[in-house]
Amino acid sequence: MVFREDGHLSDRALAALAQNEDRFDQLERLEIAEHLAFCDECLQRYTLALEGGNLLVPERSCQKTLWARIRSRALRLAVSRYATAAAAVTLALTVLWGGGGVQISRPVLPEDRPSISRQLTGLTGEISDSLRQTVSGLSDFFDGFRPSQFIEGGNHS
Amino acid sequence: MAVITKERFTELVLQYERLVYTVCFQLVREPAAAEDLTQETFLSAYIHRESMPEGYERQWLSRIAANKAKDHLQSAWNRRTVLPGEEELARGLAPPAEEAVLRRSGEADILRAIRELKEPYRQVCRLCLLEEQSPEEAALALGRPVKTVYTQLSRGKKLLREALERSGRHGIP
Repeated sequence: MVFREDGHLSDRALAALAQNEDRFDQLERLEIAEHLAFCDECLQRYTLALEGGNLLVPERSCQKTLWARIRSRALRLAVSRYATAAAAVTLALTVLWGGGGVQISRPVLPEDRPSISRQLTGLTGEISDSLRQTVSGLSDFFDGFRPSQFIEGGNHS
Repeated sequence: MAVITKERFTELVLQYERLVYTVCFQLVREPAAAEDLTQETFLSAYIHRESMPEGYERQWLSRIAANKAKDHLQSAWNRRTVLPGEEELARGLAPPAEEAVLRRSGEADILRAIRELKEPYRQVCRLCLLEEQSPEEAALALGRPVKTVYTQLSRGKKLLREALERSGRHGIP
């Protein structure tokens, strides 16, 4: 049996798994993976069982390509954030200046109130500051990936 | 939590790559998939490196690896068991065959079939189908994630249907 009556993985199943025995079908392996994904107790038992055995060596190590993928993923995340910020600014400007195609009657402003153009100037200033901060943040972000700081590859310990 | 520098993370990759690959391979049994999942594991680990518990890197990485393997196997299992168009029905437009069989079956038959179910389905089905607990309540009682309980309940019902059909008294229309 793969699971004990109490719902945890059986000793035999864990031993078979750790000793790399190919005795589980696809559904059983899925059930085991689901259980290990949340059960601290069985994960601890499994990692302890692995300590005593021979760990497998991948044919292709991920060390050489991992940093490239991390950079690529980070770039995608940053671009996505930048695109979202840019879209928000474009939408805001469209609504403010274009009126989105809707005619809005402008109320008569009393003399002592700031004009709409002054309010818009203030708003665009805030948007510019926000954009500047985003771009500055992006620059700092990409500074972290300068080639001089890369640590490429490595040997198996 | 300690700050994980790139240098420290590279050390972790060097130290635990074989462990992570072993976990992935032992679960998926395909070398190429296990290599991809190993890389995915470290990619996730790097993205969430701030939540890595110091001193428990081995368990933390093994857990991520098991999760990646689970997602891979789940996806493969769904591709194998869900036919095109079937997915829409499963979302609730039509009652699944499992529900129909369970509704037609006698309480004694269901009770017996649930008792004979293997883990990890028996406890979930007992709580949800016999004691009428919600999957959320069952998840709390069993200490399992809610999503896992939903998955196990769905598979458990399928196993029940098969068991009830095997008994020869209940067929699918």
